[in-house]
Amino acid sequence: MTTPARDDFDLLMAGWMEADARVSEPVDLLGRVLDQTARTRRTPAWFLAERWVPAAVGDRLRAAPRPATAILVLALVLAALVAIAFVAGSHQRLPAPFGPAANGQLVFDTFDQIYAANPDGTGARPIVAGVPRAAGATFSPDGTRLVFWGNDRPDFLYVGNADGTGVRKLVGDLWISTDKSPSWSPDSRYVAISTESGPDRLDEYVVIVDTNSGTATSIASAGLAGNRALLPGWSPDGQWIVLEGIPNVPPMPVESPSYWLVRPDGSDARRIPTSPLGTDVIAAHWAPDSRRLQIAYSAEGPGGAGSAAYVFDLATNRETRISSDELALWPAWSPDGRWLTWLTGAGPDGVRIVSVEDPLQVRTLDASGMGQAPAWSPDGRYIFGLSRSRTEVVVLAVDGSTTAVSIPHPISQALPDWQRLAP
Amino acid sequence: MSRDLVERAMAGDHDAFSELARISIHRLYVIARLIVRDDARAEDATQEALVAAWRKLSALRDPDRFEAWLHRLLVNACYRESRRVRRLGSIEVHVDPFTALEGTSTIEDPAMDLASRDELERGFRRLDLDQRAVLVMHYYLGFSLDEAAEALGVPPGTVRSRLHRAIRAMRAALEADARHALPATGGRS
Repeated sequence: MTTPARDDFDLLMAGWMEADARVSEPVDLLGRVLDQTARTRRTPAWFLAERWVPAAVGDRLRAAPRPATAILVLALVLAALVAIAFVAGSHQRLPAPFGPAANGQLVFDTFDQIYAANPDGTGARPIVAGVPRAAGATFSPDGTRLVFWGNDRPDFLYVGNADGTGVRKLVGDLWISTDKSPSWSPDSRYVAISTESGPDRLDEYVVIVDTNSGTATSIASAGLAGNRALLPGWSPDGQWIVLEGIPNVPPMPVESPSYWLVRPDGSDARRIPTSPLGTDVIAAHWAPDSRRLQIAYSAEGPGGAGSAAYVFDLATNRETRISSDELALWPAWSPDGRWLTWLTGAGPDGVRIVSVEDPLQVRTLDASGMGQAPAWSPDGRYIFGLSRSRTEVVVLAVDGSTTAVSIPHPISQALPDWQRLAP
Repeated sequence: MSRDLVERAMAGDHDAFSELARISIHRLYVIARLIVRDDARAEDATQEALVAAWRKLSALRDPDRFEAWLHRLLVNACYRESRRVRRLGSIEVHVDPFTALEGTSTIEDPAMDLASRDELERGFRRLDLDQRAVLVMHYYLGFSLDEAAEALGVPPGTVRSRLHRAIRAMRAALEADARHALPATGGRS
């Protein structure tokens, strides 16, 4: 092998390590660790110098004479104890903005009202009153609030508490693209939505709404080379919005959508060079890790298989196909970022669960009627979605330990959502 | 990584720590294996790091730094494992990550042929642990200099110089392999 050029070398090293990392730990390793930690006594905090001494000081202390070290550590311990005595008040336990969390309530619409239900299907009840044609309810990442639209033709965007109380209008004069859920920023303050305008409501664009002030700014299509913008998704680090762009030119025989990245202020727009997306309008899904800028999506697969599931690494500009030769729709990351799920139409409808690190690790669940956009519960133990007819929320246990839960309801406008709570 | 989970684990909640361990263990094992190049040692280093995390978790001052702190424990465990005398009866085996049942492989990676992987493996094994660790931080984890410095417990300048030396050493190793692979000339017609 000849020595590759610098850029090739970096790609080679990164690719080799990624390939080499596609292994699994021994299945009993976690059990061994937890057995040992359960029997291991913890070192008290006051005994550990690192607890009280900044790392840089610690390095100098390690070189200092012992008596000086002991006196300094003791002084810092005493100071810390005094500081602790002044710490007061409770703090609200909130989940981290991404990653695994505890399961709260499910929420869905009945084309006219917002309903909440327990994950086991019990306790279904309307939670928003007085907003006609309310739909698209989506919880904030911290689980405290709910955003939804009311279809007043034109539409208004609303925000309220997670239990449906305290609802207020945010912004109006919108023509919100139905079934395309709002996307919250990771700090639970902003919401990105698709909206339509123009005489034929074909000029879709993305609007960013500040849920505190109601201020709304649009991401102009000029920055997207004239593409219509829809299906926004906020990255876990809050720095980017991924969206689908559809050429905004006189009707073509076949429109060719593409994914785009753009900053929340609309700047720095760039097209993502994925495989052709086909005509299915499916949102890209961010990996739930602020250090990995990766999206999962469906695009044309090889050999006429229809849509396949892909992962695109935005840091390395590399696309990797994850699905084998089957139809793979709506890939979605698990909260821990280790698994992807999608719906497959190969034979009986199934929900595939595939390891991102080792795509040969595959599990298939009976879809039990789920026909759209599977998503993970906050704790990663369930997969939920709408039935084809949009008249049921279906909840499946990932490990297959329980029978599927079905929550029937009148037809929905938009997708259901699951509240995230602190673990 | 949930801050609340970390705080509960710091307070002694073993269930919370168990969840943290469950979330972290795969990544830790993969990193350890990349560094030490041995499945058994990677297991031991991962176990050692997590046990050390449980014992010393009260030393963590900022729950938001849990992952970086855990990485540092892992790297230290890898160093210790690499110095241990190999246990009797253990065999160091490199598992080919592309071993798959025919017809079921779904990964497209045409640039990574078998010869290239072997050459990278040989070159990587020639590096010392400091160099391997910094290359893993850079190429696999995508860490910045500051992030790698925190995970390795060294200043960013040290990370920069180690990375530079490690890349140079890898290139030199690959060049040496390339020279040995040149076909012989001449011979009978």
